[in-house]
Amino acid sequence: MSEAPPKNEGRVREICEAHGNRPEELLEILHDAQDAFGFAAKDLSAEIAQALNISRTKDCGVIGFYHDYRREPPGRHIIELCRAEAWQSVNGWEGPDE
Amino acid sequence: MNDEIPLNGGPDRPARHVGSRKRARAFPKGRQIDLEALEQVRELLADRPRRHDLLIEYLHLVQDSYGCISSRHLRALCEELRLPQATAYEVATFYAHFDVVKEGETPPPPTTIRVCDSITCAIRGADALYEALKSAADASKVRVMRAPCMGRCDTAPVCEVGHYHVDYATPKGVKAVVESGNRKPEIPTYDDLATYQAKGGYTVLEACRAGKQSVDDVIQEMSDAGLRGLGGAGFPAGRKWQIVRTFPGPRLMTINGDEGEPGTFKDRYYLERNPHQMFEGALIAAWAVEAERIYLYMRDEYPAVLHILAHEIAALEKAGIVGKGEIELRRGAGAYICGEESAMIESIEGKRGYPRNRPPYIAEVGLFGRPTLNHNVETLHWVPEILRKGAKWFADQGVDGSKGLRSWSVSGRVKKPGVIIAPAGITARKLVEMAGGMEEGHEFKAYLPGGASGGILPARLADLPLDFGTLDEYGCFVGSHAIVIFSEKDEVADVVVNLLRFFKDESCGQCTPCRVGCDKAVALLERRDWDGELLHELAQAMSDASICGLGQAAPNAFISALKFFSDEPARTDVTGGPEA
Repeated sequence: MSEAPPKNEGRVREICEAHGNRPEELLEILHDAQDAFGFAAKDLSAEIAQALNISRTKDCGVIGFYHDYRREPPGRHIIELCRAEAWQSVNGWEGPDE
Repeated sequence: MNDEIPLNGGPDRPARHVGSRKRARAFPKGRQIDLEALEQVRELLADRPRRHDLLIEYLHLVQDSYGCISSRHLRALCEELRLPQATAYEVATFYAHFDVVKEGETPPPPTTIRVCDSITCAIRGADALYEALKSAADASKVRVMRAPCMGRCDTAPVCEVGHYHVDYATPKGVKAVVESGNRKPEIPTYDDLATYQAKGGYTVLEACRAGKQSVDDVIQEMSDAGLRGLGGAGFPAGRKWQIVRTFPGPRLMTINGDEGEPGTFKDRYYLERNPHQMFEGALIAAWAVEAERIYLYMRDEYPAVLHILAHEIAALEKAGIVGKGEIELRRGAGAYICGEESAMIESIEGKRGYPRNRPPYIAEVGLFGRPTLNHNVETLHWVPEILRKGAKWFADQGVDGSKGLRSWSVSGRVKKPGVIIAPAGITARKLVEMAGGMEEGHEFKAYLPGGASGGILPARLADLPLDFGTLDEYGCFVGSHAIVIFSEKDEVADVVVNLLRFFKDESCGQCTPCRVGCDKAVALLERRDWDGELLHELAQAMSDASICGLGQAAPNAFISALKFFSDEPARTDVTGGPEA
């Protein structure tokens, strides 16, 4: 699914408006945008910043801070591996079979 | 922290032991309040409000009374203001004019001599002066420090002994001042309220307030006159008022008197002669945008101006022209960055002068989160005059397609440096002529069109019209209209290093491109061979990624030097970047 960035056509504005264009709802807006497009692409962050009247560094900073926001399109299936101590103690490094 | 872990409580505190459950601490945590210091701070603050935005004012009180800010007093001040010590500490240590003295440290000696080492003073021998004063000073009584531009470039080199400024300073002259014990600023004679009113002052304001002029008409006048923000950015004043009015009140107004750009002294020139014209302009602007209060931020380097302003605000209140507390005077504390409008707003809020990211712009979210109109002193100075004489009068003053009059701070190698009131669009060559020509034995070689941040141009480009936007193609700008003239006796490379050292010292440190960039630039420029390619790369990063104008404009000096002075004898080996 690594195609060109998804067509946006005002969807971002709708999402921001649904949250009242309020900067304090940035996290929610980013979640919704990611749900709609699969990832928080660069041009989305510019549009969100404009809608919320915040600087781009601010929403790029937020996107970069949280692991769950993706800046590139993900694969079709997403598998998340917990790599905590318990995983290491059962030799998780050897990895799941293909 | 887990109680089970043994902790060594420091050299004079008993170590805690494993298993010592819930035992009371032998010593309470943190710095303890000193009752004597608390009493002293309470006495200083008296019945002043315990508001956090007044922190810097109160730090001044402590510094002025005790010569430094000891950690005992800082702790006590925090107690009174209900502030964390970290907050007060970060503010106190941010500003150059506060001396924070921690436990075990020696307080500074009673007298401080600040030697201006910015560009105009530097070419007039500030370095030698500093060395001479430093070696002659008795370190237990006098402290000699380098300081950035004090806005007295017309009388360079300059020193400040306490708050007393020594113009045309020589080691001998400064010594005499130190011995005289005079530490107070010299107050020049100026037009006070009565004099200004006798000359017809405040009639325009009265007409506005009485409804003889509509807000729209006044805004239209400003736009027709072509009045622009003269702090450096050149934003049209009329449009600014309109924009601020579109945001719902309550609104505020700020006046930026933090004229720190090396080479600039025009605001001081006006405020030391005719402060009320600026006040009238400010009150008209506040009336036009319906601002509730005016905050006037004045730099600490101008103690005489601070005195005048405090005095005249009281006179205005007494005369009933403004309500009590309608104009609030705030004193800076030695930070160039606070001339940047959002940093100034942070400083008025009692914080470090860290510029804000935009958007939101201050017209919408400014001081205390309110829509804010901010103007430079000189911009406001022109407002009543424009309304009195008409927009056309002002607009017609400009030459070469520019509109209006400007106050040019001309300094450097000219015979009569000073503020020259001349049309917008004038050329540097004309300004040199108006300043009495070049100094004897000096030949015009180069000039700064806009202080430290506006870049540097060669004398062959001295016939360019100077106005906002006209120098863009040369990578320069007029900014605050500070023209510094150099001769063949001044090495361009030395000038550029001086400018970048200034930016390095004054970078607030918030964003990396500026903090690290200025530092790297100085290191690269101090080398004999300039690496043009690397300097261009650095400039690109700084101008693209810095939060505010300081970091964005700091590279102008060396980029334009690379462009126009690559054939300087000492710089023949410049490797050259894309434009060099």
